[in-house]
Amino acid sequence: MRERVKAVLASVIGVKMSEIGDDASVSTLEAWDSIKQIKLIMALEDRFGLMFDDDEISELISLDCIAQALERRQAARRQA
Amino acid sequence: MTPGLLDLDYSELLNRNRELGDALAGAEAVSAAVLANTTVDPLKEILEYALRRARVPATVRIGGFDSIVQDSERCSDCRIVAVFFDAGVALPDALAGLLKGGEAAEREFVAEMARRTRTVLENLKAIPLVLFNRFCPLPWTCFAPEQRRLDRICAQLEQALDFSQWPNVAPVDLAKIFARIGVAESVDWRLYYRARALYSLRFLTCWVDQVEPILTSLAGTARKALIFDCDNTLWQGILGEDGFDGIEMGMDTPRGRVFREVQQDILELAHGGIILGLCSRNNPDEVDEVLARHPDMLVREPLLSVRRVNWEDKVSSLAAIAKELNIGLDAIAFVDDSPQELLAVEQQLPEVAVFQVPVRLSEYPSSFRRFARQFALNHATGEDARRTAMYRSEALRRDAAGHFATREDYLRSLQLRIRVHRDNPEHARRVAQLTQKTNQFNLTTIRYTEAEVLRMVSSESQRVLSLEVSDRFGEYGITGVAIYDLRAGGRESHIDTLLLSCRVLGREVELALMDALIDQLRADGVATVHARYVLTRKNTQAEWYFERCGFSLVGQAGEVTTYALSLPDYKPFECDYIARSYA
Repeated sequence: MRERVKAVLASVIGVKMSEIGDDASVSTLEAWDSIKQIKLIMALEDRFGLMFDDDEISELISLDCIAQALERRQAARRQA
Repeated sequence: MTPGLLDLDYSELLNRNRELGDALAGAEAVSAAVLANTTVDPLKEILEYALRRARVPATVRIGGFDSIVQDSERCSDCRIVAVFFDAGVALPDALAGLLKGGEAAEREFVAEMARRTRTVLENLKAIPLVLFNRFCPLPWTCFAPEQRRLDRICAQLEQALDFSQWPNVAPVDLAKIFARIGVAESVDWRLYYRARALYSLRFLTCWVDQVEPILTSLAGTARKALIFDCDNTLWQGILGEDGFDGIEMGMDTPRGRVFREVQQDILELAHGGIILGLCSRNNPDEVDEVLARHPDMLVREPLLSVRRVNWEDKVSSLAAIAKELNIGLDAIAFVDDSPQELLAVEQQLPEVAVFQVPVRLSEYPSSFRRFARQFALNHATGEDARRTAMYRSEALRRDAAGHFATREDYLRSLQLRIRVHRDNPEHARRVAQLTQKTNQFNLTTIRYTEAEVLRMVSSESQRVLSLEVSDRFGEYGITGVAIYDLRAGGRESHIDTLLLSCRVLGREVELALMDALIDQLRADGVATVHARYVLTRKNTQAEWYFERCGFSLVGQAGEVTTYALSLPDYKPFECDYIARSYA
């Protein structure tokens, strides 16, 4: 999951996937600004075919958090 | 072919856009800007991608948040500006005043919005293309049965503004996009309250898709010719089996009505200047009979510029058609009902756009209209209406050419005449169209809009020559353009644009054009003229031109070769079989 998120993040920020560390977050990546954040939300939703809730959107501030949010969604989908 | 906007997910689009940007690096960048009172930043790459696909090396910038008026003063470097001025977003700030002030306050609000819009459009008057979203209340009011305040305001704004007074403005009907995908899919309230990003990714993508035909027409990459199969494409049935009386395209049957409507749409396209042709495996005599005499046939003989009705394969026939019309395969669209034939065309002539008649026949007219979006959008000019006739006289000329011993005998027999017009504002639309469509004999390939041409026509320091060509078979119409400026007190001149439509190539009109241009430069008192040849993928056939005309080579850098000529050294061609006159 992490790798798939990394690929989207790399496309949005405009860097190679290898340049994105596992600890990537809004505070470690300077290019990850508020405009990129909007594009990132749109890109993730488009790629993974879902719509985040209001509360989830606020959490999408690091690679880890995004991967977790997506995994939670997938688990919920499997249960349903 | 690069994938269409709607086929890509957003990250993939971002990647492709970067690749296209890298591939076009080095070309002179074309700037575009988006001004908005909402957050539309994701539009940047989508719009860039659409333009770069059309081979425009575009860079798009997004203006500051809610500073449309200020930003509109800083767009002079742009070829394209899009304006997202949303009344529903502007309204809440004014609402308290409107509630208190009643009708008068509402009128004042409308007047103020209209004033700001006019200021913006005036500031953008010199931009070749301005895409301005019409005021649309639907995101806020579509569920209300009665007319809401915002509905009223938008209707009044629409009345107060007459977009036709700005010829460079293309109003974009947001309601059409809302109708395509629904309002709920178009707006993203989560991101609106978080970041004022009102429009969803899907909406922004569809917005660019909606305006793409305007962009490709401006870029000169829109398609020009529509070629049809006959059986089960222009009519229901197979002529060779069902016979003259068995095929259907009339009002009497459901299937007939489908084909009739498609034929009506084809007539509209022909009227707008699209070249029509047939490419069918059939007996030519039988098809001729239908074209000439079938009572339900709408697409008739004089509308067809080219016909390949024979038993050859479609791939060879289409290649021959491109050659005969003297246009690129990438300017052709082909409609057929046979998946096998279309597959062969797709594989062997990938530049041709193909459309298959849908299996569910009732969807044929509507899906054909969607397909037909990729044709060049011409404002119907007199030229367009005459074009079909011109391509037909071309066939007569070709027949005549067979009867002469030498090429010069043939050219002499044509009795060619050229007439040179100088700064004629009535030709501005046609001149702009020629700059947008001409790819082969075009020395600099600079695209202009009508507004830009009009400005040059009225400028003291620029001259726009338009060339009208005719011969004994008929009119070619306005088919040549030369634009030059005057510098150093009129002693020097730079040729900005020099082009000839492919219709008149191969008749030495090229040479007569230079004679005429030099005459005009002399009349302006010019002593030295500078010229550039800018190499593109399509204009190598014009490479020889300036040298042949006696210009000397000054330098060469990348795609650009520069030349100069001292006017006293010019040796006119004086082709005595081309009569020249000045309007």
